[in-house]
Amino acid sequence: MFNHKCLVNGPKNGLTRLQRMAKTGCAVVHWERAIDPTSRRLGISATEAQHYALETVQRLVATDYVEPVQQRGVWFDIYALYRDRLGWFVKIGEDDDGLLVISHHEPEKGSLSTLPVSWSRWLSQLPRSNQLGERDENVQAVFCV
Amino acid sequence: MRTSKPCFACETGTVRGTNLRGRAFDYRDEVDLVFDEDVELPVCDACGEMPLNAAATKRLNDVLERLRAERKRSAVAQFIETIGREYPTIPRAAWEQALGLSPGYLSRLASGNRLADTSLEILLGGFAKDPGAVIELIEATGHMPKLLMTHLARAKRPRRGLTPA
Repeated sequence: MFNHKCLVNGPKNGLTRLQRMAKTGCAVVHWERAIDPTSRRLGISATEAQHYALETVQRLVATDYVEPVQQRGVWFDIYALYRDRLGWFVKIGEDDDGLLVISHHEPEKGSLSTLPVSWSRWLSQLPRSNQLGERDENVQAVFCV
Repeated sequence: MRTSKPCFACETGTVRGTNLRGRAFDYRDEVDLVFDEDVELPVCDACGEMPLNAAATKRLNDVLERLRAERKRSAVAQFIETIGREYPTIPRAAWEQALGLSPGYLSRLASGNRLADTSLEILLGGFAKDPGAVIELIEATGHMPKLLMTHLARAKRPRRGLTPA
């Protein structure tokens, strides 16, 4: 049903956990690749752009997931979604300072493939605690075979 | 936030507290806004990326928004100074009409109650450098109001370039 490659490339960070940090403001957002491009694209101030990026993180769902990427030994997850009729490329992770929003900008390298619909059905059938939520280690045990 | 940490953007540099004074920012619709306050924020020593928390973003935002507003007001001030110097007999209302602005709008821009949008700012700034070029532009687009046309004819000043020394 699911090939090994798909399972290995699942999210490396618990989305619910990151969203909680976005909501509480325990977050760092990068200027060049997130705040500034958002500010220009929407014609808003830097502060508004940062809030917008953190709100985008809070709106992410499992089916927005694209793939993980490792940078300097830390795993980040890439998501893609439409918000306010615009496509957004979002790269998030976590370090000692909390949520890290590395990227929040217009997709730059063509279209992005998010989680297939068949996966969303599978995910929705998982026990609630396994849906990229609190007990993320169980999900990762499935994904990171 | 730690004193220094690896940069996840370029993957080679180190992020350290750095004074932003003198750094030029392209911000929103402005270019080369030179940071003019002593503000220390985390900056990567290789790529210049800045990982910012909410407080740091607000600090940066406050300075850049001020610089942006000053740049826009400066364009308006230069325009007003130029029309006052080059065309002292032409009422401001004639220029407002030519630029499609409501009466009194230039005063509101000058006082800072409003900020000029990007295209207006470019037009006003261009006028300060070369009034004749902007006047010709307005004429070419067919938007020259009769009021301004009449006053320009009466002004008997060179249409192109600034007043010779």
